[in-house]
Amino acid sequence: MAWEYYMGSLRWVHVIAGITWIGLLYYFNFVQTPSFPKMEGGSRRDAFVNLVPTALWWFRWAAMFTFLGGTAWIISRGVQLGNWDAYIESSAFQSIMIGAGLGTIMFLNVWLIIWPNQKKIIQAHKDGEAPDPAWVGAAGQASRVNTLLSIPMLFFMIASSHLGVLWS
Amino acid sequence: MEALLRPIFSVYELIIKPVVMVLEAILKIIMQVYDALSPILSLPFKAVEMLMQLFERPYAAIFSPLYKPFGGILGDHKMVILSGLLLMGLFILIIRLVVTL
Repeated sequence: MAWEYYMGSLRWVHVIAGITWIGLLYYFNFVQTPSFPKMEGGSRRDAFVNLVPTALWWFRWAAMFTFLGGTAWIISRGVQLGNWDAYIESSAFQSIMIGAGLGTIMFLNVWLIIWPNQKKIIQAHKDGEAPDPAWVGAAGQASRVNTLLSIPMLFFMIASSHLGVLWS
Repeated sequence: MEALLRPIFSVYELIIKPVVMVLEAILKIIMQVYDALSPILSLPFKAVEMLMQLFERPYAAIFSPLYKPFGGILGDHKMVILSGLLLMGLFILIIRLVVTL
């Protein structure tokens, strides 16, 4: 009984953090990126100084809690079942590991490419300077890669619980 | 209509409003405790930020060049969505082939 509550709590943390993360990822890609070039210089600078840091705080920490919650859930599930061999051979595990692999690349892209470059871009805007196009390019490409990967990642996360027939 | 709704508003005034006021008072106390503890609570977050910084250079050195050839696809968000769907289809196709064979 306690295990079920523990597993349910981990899944809840993973899902709510995941919604926050991917929601902000889609906001950045589908709303912010196309809109910022249309804004006047002063307004764009204002947004970079006041809006973007807050959005990126929620974005990167949501990614962290999604990753930690998901990793803890997968390990705990193996412990709960008590039979690692059977767990690893199950369709649920194989599906979730494809999703988890893609999700891990996305998580690392957030923390190790997008955030470091965005920090430099925000600082440049604060200093009233134009950001280096290389920083903008690197952060933008990693963000777009994450949007691309999010589509199969979500499919396999859901398939793990709801599409066992995929592997039969 | 107003006469019909009045008892509902009376219930709201008598029961729900005091409950919400008590809840708000409890939440304010929790928030005061949180604000007082925030310098301590922020330490693990700062530690994680510093830890992640150690991996920035090696990771970016490997992965950033991998993404560059996809610049044409990644420049347009509609192409990104289509590419994501194609990658998903490719994964499904490979799985179905492996399972069938």
